[in-house]
Amino acid sequence: MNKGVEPPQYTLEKLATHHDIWSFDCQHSYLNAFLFYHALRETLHDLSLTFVLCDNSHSPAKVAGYFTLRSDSYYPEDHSEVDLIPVVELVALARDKDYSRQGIGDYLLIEALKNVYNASKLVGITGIHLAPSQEGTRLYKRYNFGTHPLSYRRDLLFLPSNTIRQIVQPLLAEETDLE
Amino acid sequence: MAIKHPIHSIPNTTEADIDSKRVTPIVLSASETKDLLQSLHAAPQPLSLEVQNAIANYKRIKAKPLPK
Repeated sequence: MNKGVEPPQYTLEKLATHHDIWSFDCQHSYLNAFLFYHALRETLHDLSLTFVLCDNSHSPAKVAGYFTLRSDSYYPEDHSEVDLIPVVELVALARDKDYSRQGIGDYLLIEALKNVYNASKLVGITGIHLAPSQEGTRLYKRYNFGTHPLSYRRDLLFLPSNTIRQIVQPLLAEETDLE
Repeated sequence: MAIKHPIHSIPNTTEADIDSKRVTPIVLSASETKDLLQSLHAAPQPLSLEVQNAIANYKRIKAKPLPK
């Protein structure tokens, strides 16, 4: 730790066995169950990656929220132009009920978009998609997530890389300046 | 009991719908491919004031020190 820099209350960490996930409750049974029974296994095998937002004012640190990302692809029927269109899927994003109305959902989404942006600079990603819950739709639409171009996947929302860049590039530039 | 994937929370979606979506690759027609590739180069819409406020709040949360 840098001398004179106070430790932060919140830290974003890749999910690992030491995290106390069992007290997490987002009041959404599927998203709770995904964290309890799928997220760690998938993260340990690199099938998807889950990041938890830890509130270090508790001991052990309380998980205030989490998100899960994994790679996905679209396959064009006509291969003459492109063979495959790489995207990232936001598999899950949830915050604990004790952290409502504090902007934690936005915080997690911005962190997820930063991860996608950083990955897109290394491997090429055209955007991020997700199948939102009814409650989550409003959050994603605020960030200009749009209806998926595929007519038979209207349940998906899609945000292209150029919009992700618009949101996170200024933040990353500021963070680099502070380092 | 099998644990459901979060995607199962989509309203009005049956288990069969979801299973087919999870295992079926997303295939784009020629016109959908063209539309998607074009949309990637469209100028992004300006961020709303709500999102700008959320980004400012993000910075506050990130900078918040551990209470003593």
